[in-house]
Amino acid sequence: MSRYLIQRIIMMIPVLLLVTVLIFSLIHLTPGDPALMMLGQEASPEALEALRARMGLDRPLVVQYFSWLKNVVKGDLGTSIRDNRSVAEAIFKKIPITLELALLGILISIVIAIPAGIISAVKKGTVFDYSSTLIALGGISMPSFWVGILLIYLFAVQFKILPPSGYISPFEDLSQNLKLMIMPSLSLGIRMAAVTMRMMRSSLLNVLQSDYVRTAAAKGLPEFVVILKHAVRNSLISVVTVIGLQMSAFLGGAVITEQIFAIPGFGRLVVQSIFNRDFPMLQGSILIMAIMVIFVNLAVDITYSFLDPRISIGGGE
Amino acid sequence: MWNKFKRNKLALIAAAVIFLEVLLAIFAPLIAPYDPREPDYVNFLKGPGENHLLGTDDLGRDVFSRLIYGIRVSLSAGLISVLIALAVGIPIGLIAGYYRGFLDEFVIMRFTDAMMSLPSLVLALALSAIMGAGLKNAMIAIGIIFTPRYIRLVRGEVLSIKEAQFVEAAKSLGMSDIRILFKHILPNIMSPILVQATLSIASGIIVEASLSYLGLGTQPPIPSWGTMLSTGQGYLDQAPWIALSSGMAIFISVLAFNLMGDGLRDMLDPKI
Repeated sequence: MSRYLIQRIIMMIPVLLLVTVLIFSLIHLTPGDPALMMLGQEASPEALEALRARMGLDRPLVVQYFSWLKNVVKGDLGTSIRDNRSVAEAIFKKIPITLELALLGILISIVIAIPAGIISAVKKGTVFDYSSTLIALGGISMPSFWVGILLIYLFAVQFKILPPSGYISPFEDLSQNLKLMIMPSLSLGIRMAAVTMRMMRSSLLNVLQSDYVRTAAAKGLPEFVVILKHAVRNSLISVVTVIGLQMSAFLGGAVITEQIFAIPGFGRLVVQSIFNRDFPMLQGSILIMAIMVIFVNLAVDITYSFLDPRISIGGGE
Repeated sequence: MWNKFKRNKLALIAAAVIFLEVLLAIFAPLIAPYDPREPDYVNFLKGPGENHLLGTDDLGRDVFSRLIYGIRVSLSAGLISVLIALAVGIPIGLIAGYYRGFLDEFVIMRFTDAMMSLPSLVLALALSAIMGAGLKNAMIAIGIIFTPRYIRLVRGEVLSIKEAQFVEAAKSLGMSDIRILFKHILPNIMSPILVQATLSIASGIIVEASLSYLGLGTQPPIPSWGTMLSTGQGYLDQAPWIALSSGMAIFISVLAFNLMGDGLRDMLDPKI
């Protein structure tokens, strides 16, 4: 197990390095002067020169990349060109807010998807199965911002039972925090629930056809024991993967959901850095997002090998 | 095969919806009752009624006409971005899968790994912001974020059939690699590519709408569903029809392409 883990971590290093190259080239290899892109056409030559000197834009690209990488490894993501904040500090202040949104969204999706997927698979071909499959397809086709706006329209404008937008820390006022977070997490969670439910259904259907499930049933075990104890556990492997793989989509969704609900999280920071043309902030934010995705994928792989000990590099220990 | 598709009622309905949308997009000037860009400062935020089927927006423009013209933006964004991804992804995937080796394992595959660990919407946002807001750049940005999916898909498919007898036969006849790749391998792996492309059009429509919603996609006054949704959000209490109709339009189009993709998969994949 530990050998697998070490190998998996070593495999991450080239990907992480390539991610840094991609993010760096995103801004520096695009045609045009980065200083001009950041400060705009109306910037004075002195201001442009000062920014170039401050960010070292006048040095060769390779030198710039390695000096940025060296700082990144030390945990220094640079400073914002708009307000001189430390990029790392700004990001880590915002991450807990987005993390709360993500955890609530995942929770909602699991609460909806797992039972619906199990019932759909067990009752395959029934009205419940057809309707939940259709609803899931509908859910996949609903962009999170559209779900968000629908929820605001229903619960804030029509029924006036929830506040339309804003954020209060849970440490300040937990009930108000939850009231404000219900709609954003639902709008993220519904789409995820749809994807997870489809995976739960198809993977459970596969498992239900396997010999050991038939044997368990033939031994006379009650149906719910066969399904919950024998079948569901094994079908969870693919479900965990799907939840993990959605992390990337989830972060993207958070960017737009936080914008709709005016939540001052990591996603909103990214949008602001784009509109402010604050490239050090943007560069740092994308890097942290990518690292989060890569680590979640690692966590998924580790969870896998717990759920199914046969899985390991090269077929196994 | 067609019979299998015909039996899938949902996919048939979806195909009909897409066909209708294409017609609406082509004949928009004949169908739309008003100029979608023409403001009417007397009749702004008017509810749906006789003169305006779906009401008017904050500048008095006819929402129905804007929806019809918006189809052009959404469909072309979905389609062109996928075509860009196919044009780049297919050749790279073919080369990676056919030749394998260092280039495949250590350059192309690791590059796609890296690309796929960047959240696609964030990458699209960043690219659009750097290249400049607008529909053309949004389509390029979406095309770029879709490309790794096709590289991986095509590579995987090539790996699964490159040892097949017909490929060996073509090789023994002395055919060039390019001919084998494009004349023999590619036509045999088109089914999963077609399914993925249909599903990607749905994602492309969502990403374009998201970019436009945030102000980085289609620029006003060109009517696009994303910008209509963004405007409509500000008038949810006074004029909910703006946001609701554009949101429904996005939902119906995306659902149609998803159902169509599912239908094509059922039709083309003999394993299902």
